[in-house]
Amino acid sequence: MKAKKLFISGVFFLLCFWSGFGLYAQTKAPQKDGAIRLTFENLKTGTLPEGWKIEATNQKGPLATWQVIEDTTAPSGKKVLSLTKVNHSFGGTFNLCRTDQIRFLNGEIKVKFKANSGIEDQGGGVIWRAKDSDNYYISRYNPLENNFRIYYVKDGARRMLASARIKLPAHKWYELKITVQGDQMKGYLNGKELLQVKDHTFPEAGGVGLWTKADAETSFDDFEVVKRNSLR
Amino acid sequence: MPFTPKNVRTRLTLWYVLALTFILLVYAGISITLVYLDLRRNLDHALNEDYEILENLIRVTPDGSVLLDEEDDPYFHERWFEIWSTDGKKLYESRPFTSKSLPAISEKEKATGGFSFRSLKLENDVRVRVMYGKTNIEGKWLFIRLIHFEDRMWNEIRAFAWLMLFALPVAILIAGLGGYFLTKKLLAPVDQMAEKARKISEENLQERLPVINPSDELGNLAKAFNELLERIEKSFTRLKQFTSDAAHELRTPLTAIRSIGEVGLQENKDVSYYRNVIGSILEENRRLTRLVDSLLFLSGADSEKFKPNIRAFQLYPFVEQTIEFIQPLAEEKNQTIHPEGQKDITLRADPGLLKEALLNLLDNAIKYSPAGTDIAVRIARNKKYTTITVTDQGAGIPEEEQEKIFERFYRIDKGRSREMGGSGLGLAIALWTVQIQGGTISVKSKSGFGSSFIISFPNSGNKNKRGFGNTS
Repeated sequence: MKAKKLFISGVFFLLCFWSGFGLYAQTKAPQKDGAIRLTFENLKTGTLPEGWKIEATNQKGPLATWQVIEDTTAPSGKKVLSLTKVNHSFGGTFNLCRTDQIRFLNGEIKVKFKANSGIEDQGGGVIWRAKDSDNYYISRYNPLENNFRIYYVKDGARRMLASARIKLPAHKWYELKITVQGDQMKGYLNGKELLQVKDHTFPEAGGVGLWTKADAETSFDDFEVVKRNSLR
Repeated sequence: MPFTPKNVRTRLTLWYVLALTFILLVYAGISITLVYLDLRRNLDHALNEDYEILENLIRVTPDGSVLLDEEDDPYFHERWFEIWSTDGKKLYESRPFTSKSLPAISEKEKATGGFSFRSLKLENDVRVRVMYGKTNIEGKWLFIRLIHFEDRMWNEIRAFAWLMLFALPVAILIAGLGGYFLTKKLLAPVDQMAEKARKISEENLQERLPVINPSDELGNLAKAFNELLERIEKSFTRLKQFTSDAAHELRTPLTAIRSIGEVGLQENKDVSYYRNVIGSILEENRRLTRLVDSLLFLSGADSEKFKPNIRAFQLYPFVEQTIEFIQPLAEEKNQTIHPEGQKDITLRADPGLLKEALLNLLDNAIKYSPAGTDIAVRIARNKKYTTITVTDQGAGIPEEEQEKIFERFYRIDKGRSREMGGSGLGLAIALWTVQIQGGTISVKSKSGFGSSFIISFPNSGNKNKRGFGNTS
C-alpha cells in the first residue's frame, strides 16, 4: 500500500516537473545558438505565453482577443498564437500582443504568419525595441495593399520608413524576418531582402511582440528572437 | 546723448511698450515657426500619400524598365516624381506644370535607407519638398523621388506673418495707450503728494501728505514722508523753543551787567564801591560764559557727529577725583560729599563725558540741598547694570515734574534757580553725555525727602570686554 502511494507520488511529481519544464521551454526556450523560440505547442489553447500581454495603440473600445489556438495548417506542430477576435471597429487601432521580458536591441526577429481575415486591413508583423504600447518599431506585410513595410510608431503616430511592393495571397503562411544592427534595419519576406532603412528614433533596447492593424485577424507561429552583440 | 524722457509716466509707458514689443515679437516668431512645422508636416503627409498611390502604379517589366498604370490614378498627371535605378539611371520622370528639374541624386541620398524628406531651393527661388528613398517593387530595387511645391506653404506662412506684422503695431498701440493711462492712474497719488508737499512750509508743518491706500507702496511712501514731517516739526519746535529760551537766558545776565554799570556810573564813589561793581559785572560775566559754554556743548551734541572716547577705567577713584574737583563748592555750604560702594569696579565709558554728567548732578545736589547736609555718591553693580547714584537731602522733586527736569531750560522754580546761578541746562547736558555712551539717567524723588539721580550703564554691551563684568 505504501509502495503504491510512493509510486503515485513519484509519477505525479514527474508529471509536474515535465509540464513545468515544458511550459518554460516553449515560452522562452533559449536555443543552442542563443535564440529564444516560441512554437506555442505546449501552451493550452485559449491562453497566452507567460509574460505576454494584450495591448493596443490608439485604442478605442475593447482590446482584441489574442490566444493560442489549434491550427492544422501550422508550419510547426498544431498550435499557433492568433488574433481571433478584434472586438472593436476603429480602423486606426494597432492590436498588440507583446512582452517586455525579452529585451531586444540588436539581432534578428523571425515569425511565420498567416492573414486569416480583415476587410479594412489584413496581415501583420512584429514589433521591436518597444518602450510601451505607443512607442516601437514595426515591420508588417499587408496582403490587401500588397506591401511590406517598416514603420516606427512614436507617441501613437506611425511614420513609414521603408516600403516594398510584393504580391502574396492571403490565407497562406509566410516568413517575415527583420535584422537590426544599431540604426540599420533590414526586412526579409520569405528569405528575400526587400527593405533597408536607417533610423535612430528608438536607440535603446525594448520589448518585442506581434502586431496587426484595425480588423486584421492573423495567426503567428515559430516566433524567434536572436540577440546579437551590438559591436559585432 | 541718449533720449531719456524726464517724465516717469512716459518712461514707464515706454518700458512697458518695449517689453510688450519684445514679448509679441517672440510670440510671433514662435507662432510662425509652429505654423511652418505644421504645414511642413502636412506636406510630408501628402507626399507619403502620393507614394502610397504611386507604389501601386509602378510595373517592372522583365527587361528591367518601368511602366506606370496611369489610368488607375485620376490625378496622375498632377504628380511630380522621378524613378531611378539604383545604378543612377533615370527610369521615369513626371513633371507636370513645370519645366523645373531637380538636381541629380547625390551619393548621400543614394546611401539613404528607407524614406527621407528634404526641402530644396531650385532656380528662380522655387522651393520644393522632396520625399526620396529606396524601395523594392516586385523584387527590383528602385530609387524614388516625389516632389511637392512649397509655394502654397510659404504663401500661407507669409500671409500669417503679414497678419502678425499688421496686428503687432495695433496691439502695441493699444497696449501703449492702456499702459499710459494705467501708469497715469497709478501715479496720480504721487502728483497729489507732490502738490501737497509744495504747500507745506514752516507755517503749516503740522499738515501731512494724503495717504490714499496705506497698504500699497505709494501709501508707504506717503506714511514715511509724514513720519519725516513729524520729526521735522518736532525738531523745528524744539529749535524754536531752544532759541527763545537761550535768548531769554542770555538777556538776564546782559541786563544785569548793564544795570550794574549804569548804577555805577551815576554817582562818584570810592574805589571799594567800584571794585564791588566790577566784581558783580565779572560774576554776571562768569554766569554768561557758563551759559554760552553750555549752549556750545549742546550745540555740538545736536550735530550728532560726536563720538565718545570709550575706554576702561577704575570707577571708584574716578568718582573720588570728581568729588574732589567740586568739593570747594560744597564746602562753601558746609556740605559733605562722600563716595560709597564697591571699590573694584572697572567701567568702560568716556571718562570726560561721565565727569561732565557727574559734575552737573553734584552741582545740582549742592545748589538745591540745605547747608550742612550730606551728599552721597554710591557705586554699585548688579548682574545687568553698573550704577552711580547721587543722593542729596534737598527739597525733592514733585512727581509730575520728574519727567520734565531733563528738558533744556526747564526749571521747577525759575526765580530760585536763576538766583542760584543755574542755567536750566545742567540736567539736559548730563542726560545727553550719559545717553551718548549707551547709559541712562533716572530720578527717584519725593517732595521733602531729597532726590536720587541714578546713572546706569548696561553690563551686557561690554560683557566680553576687559575689565567689565560682575565683581566678586
